Amino acid sequence: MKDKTILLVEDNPDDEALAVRALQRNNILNEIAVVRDGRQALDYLLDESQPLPALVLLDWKLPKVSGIEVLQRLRATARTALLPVVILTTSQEEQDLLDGYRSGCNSFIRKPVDFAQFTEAMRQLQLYWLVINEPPPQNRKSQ
Amino acid sequence: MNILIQQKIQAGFAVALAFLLLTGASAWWSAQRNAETFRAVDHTYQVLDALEDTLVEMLNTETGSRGFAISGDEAFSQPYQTGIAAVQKEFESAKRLTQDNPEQQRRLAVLDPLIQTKIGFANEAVRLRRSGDTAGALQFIAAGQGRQAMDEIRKLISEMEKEEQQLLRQRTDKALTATRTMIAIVVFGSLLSLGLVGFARVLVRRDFEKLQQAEEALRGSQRRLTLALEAANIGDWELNLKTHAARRSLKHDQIFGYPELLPEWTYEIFLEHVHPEDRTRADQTFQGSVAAGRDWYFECRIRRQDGAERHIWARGAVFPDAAGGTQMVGMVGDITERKHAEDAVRKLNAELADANQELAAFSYSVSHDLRAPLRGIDGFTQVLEEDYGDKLDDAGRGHLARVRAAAQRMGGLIDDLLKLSKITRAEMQPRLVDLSALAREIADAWQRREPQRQVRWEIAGGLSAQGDPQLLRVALENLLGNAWKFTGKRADAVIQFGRLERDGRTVFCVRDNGAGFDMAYAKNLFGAFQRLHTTAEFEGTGIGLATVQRVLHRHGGRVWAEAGVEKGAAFYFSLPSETPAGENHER
Repeated sequence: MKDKTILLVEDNPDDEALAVRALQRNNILNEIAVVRDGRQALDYLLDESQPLPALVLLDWKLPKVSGIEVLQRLRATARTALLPVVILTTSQEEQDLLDGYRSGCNSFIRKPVDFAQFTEAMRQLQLYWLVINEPPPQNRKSQ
Repeated sequence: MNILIQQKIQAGFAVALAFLLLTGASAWWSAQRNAETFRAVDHTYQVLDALEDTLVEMLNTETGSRGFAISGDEAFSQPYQTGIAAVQKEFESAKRLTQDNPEQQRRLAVLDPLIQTKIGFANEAVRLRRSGDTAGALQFIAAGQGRQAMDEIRKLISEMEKEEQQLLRQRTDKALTATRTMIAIVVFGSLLSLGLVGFARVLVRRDFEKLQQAEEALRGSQRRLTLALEAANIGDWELNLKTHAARRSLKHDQIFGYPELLPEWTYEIFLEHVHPEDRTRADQTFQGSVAAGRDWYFECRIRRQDGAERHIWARGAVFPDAAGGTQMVGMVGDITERKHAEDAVRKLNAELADANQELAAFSYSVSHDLRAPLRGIDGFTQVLEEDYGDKLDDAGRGHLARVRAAAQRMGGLIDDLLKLSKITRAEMQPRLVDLSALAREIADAWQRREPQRQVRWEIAGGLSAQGDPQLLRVALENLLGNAWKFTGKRADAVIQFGRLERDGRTVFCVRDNGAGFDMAYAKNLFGAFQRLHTTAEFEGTGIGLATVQRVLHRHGGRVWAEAGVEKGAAFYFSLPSETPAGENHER
């Protein structure tokens, strides 16, 4: 099985460390790439020379280019239009949910304070998106 | 009304006049009849005279003839001669006068021969004496034939006189009656006429009174109008569209800053007072409406005589005047205070909107920024526990657990606070909400969540109220959720939701037979994060009832509770009923 990369877009170093730990604990072998703001995310994803990750975990509040802008750019670009993007955020504001889904996210996860819950959520997330879910064909083509 | 009075007066007088004429005519006609009657009476007297004279002359003749027959004195022959002539004359007279009376004519016909006979006897007596046969004459007289004839004549004449007397009486009576009738007609007719005049006067007076009352009412109305305009600080004016001169009330000039009425005022003078920036618009509105014959209204700024700038409204209406031209009347009012108040309100509204927006932004940032460190606290504590837990003893691990619990609890508190603030800010969309259905949904959800719980739900049907469906759902979820939670230790839990009347108002009630609480601490019940139980007894943050209260207050209602320790609790809430809540005009 090819190794599927997960791109984590997260500006908070604490959140980043915890997320990486949670993902790694679940023994689903994936490479985890991390970028720390929206600009870096776009650079990474729109770089034709780089393969696309299998899944993007996108934080909503990002410096430079915000999460929603990143998402909109991704959906506007043919290369990344179908890329699975899961929004990870604390906010449960209705407006954010609307904006996220309208802009084309595949899923919207609210980060719980409880780390155990978060770990479990990450496990299910990985299982679903990287094992159970059939990714869009374009992904394979780019790889 | 005037026309009616005129007509009534005319009618009244016409009728009265007619009556007078009628009376006059009747009286005249009556008088005519009277005259006739009196003539008739006089006629009868004449007949009586004639009859009486006939008799008298007859007696004269008899006396004359007897006297001569007895004494041979020539002195007696004269009455005898004249008597005979007179009798004839009077007889003819009587006959003539009673021409229209057949009965009398008949008697006269009988009388005639009798008279002739008697005259014959008188003649015979005189002849006898004249011829020297005195004894024969006396004997002739003594034989009494003459006397007999005389008696019959007397009798007949008496009869005739009686008849005439009767006739006389009849006619006299008739004359009297006629006179009385005439008097009666005159009197009655006059009284009737007077009565009619009086009646007409009464009617007219009533109408006059009504007219007076109408005038009085009109005066009263005018007084009230003037007072109202004065009180409302409205000045009224009339504009002559030809000369542009205006008549105004004192208040009008005062609005423009003049303490007394100016000697003259025109539309041009008005325009001069209008703020230069508003002048064109005002003038255009005015001229346009005058041209179209329309009413007009505008608001503008003016500069008073003392230079102060004020806001006014002005309106005018055109209508045709009595002389066939057009007249304009209108009013002007000072709305400076109102404008300032409106501006203040607008400013406040803007500030409020700003504040709300800031609050929204604040909530948003809270929902992100406050939780992030909490994640860190909880997360790394767990990491610590997982990676270095074996290096800690139970106490150490216990501490870590408490750190995590505290962090999670804070997360919960933040969430609750955010929810509460949302409820305060949310826009209400009032509708008729089926509370029974809502309660049943919530009950079913709880039952599905914890199917092992045995709870008897008694939810009354047909409960409804006017309010925001989302907010009411939140309130009911909290109330029913509490009931569910606090009956958790009861095997025979009963939760009721119904309605009852208190003080004439509809009140809803959620009642359970669970743990209840001590009423002594009830005043803290609805405070945010206030709890009457420990987390060990029942979990929760204590935001639920604060939320319920917030929802009810936004609906203009109330919520309160009654309970006893281990005796269950009853939560009552009232919603202003079917009429829309006052919240409506906030939107």
